[in-house]
Amino acid sequence: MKFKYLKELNKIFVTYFNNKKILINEKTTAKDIKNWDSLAQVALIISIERKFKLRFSVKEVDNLKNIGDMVKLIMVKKNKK
Amino acid sequence: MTSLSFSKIRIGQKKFFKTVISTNDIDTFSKISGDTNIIHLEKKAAIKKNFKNRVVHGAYILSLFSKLVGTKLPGNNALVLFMDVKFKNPAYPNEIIKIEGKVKEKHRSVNSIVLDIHAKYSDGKIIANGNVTVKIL
Repeated sequence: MKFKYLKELNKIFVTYFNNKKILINEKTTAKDIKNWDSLAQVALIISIERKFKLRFSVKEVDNLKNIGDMVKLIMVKKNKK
Repeated sequence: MTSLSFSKIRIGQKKFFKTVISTNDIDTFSKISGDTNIIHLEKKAAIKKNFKNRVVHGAYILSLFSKLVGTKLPGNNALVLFMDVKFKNPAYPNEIIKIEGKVKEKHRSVNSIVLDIHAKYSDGKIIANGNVTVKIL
C-alpha cells in the first residue's frame, strides 16, 4: 500500500512540476526538488487532498518532514475512513 | 466590499456580477497590456477574421474573474494562486456579460478554496470557464 501511495504522489509531483524525471522516495523533502516553494506546496497539498479524497489539518501539514511522513499520514487517514 | 473568512465560506456558495465592456474599455486595456492586435482594435479587421465585432482581450475576462474573487468571493482576504481557464467563445463589446463563481472545494490545511468560474452572455452562451484557486489571507 505504501508503494502504491508513493507512486500516486509521484504522479502528482510529475504533473505539477511538469518534469517526468522526478522520482520521489520516502526521504524526499522540498530541498530535493527544484521550485518546490510555498506556492507549489499549496498546489501539491490541494492535489493530494483531491486525489486521495481526504483533508488534512494545518497542524498535520506543518508536521510533515518528508514524503515518508506524507505517505504515513495518507495511510492513517485512509484507514480511519 | 466583502471579506469572507475561510470558516464563513460554504461549498456551493455563489456570487456574480454583470458588466458591459465598451470599446473604450478595450482601447484602455490595449494600452495597459500592450496587446494592440487589430482584432481587438479594428472592427473591420475583426469582421474579416470572421468575428462579428472587435474582440475583447481574453486577459480582460481573466481580470473580471480576479474582480469577482477580490471583491465578492471571498473579497478582501483573497489572493489568486492559480487560474485554469478555457476560452469557449469570443467576448464582444456592448453585450451584457455575467461573471459567476461557485465554491467547489475547501482546503483548510492550506487555507485555500477552489472556485468554478465562468463568464457568459445573457443567453447562457459561455465565453470562458474554468477554476480558480484562491488563498484566504
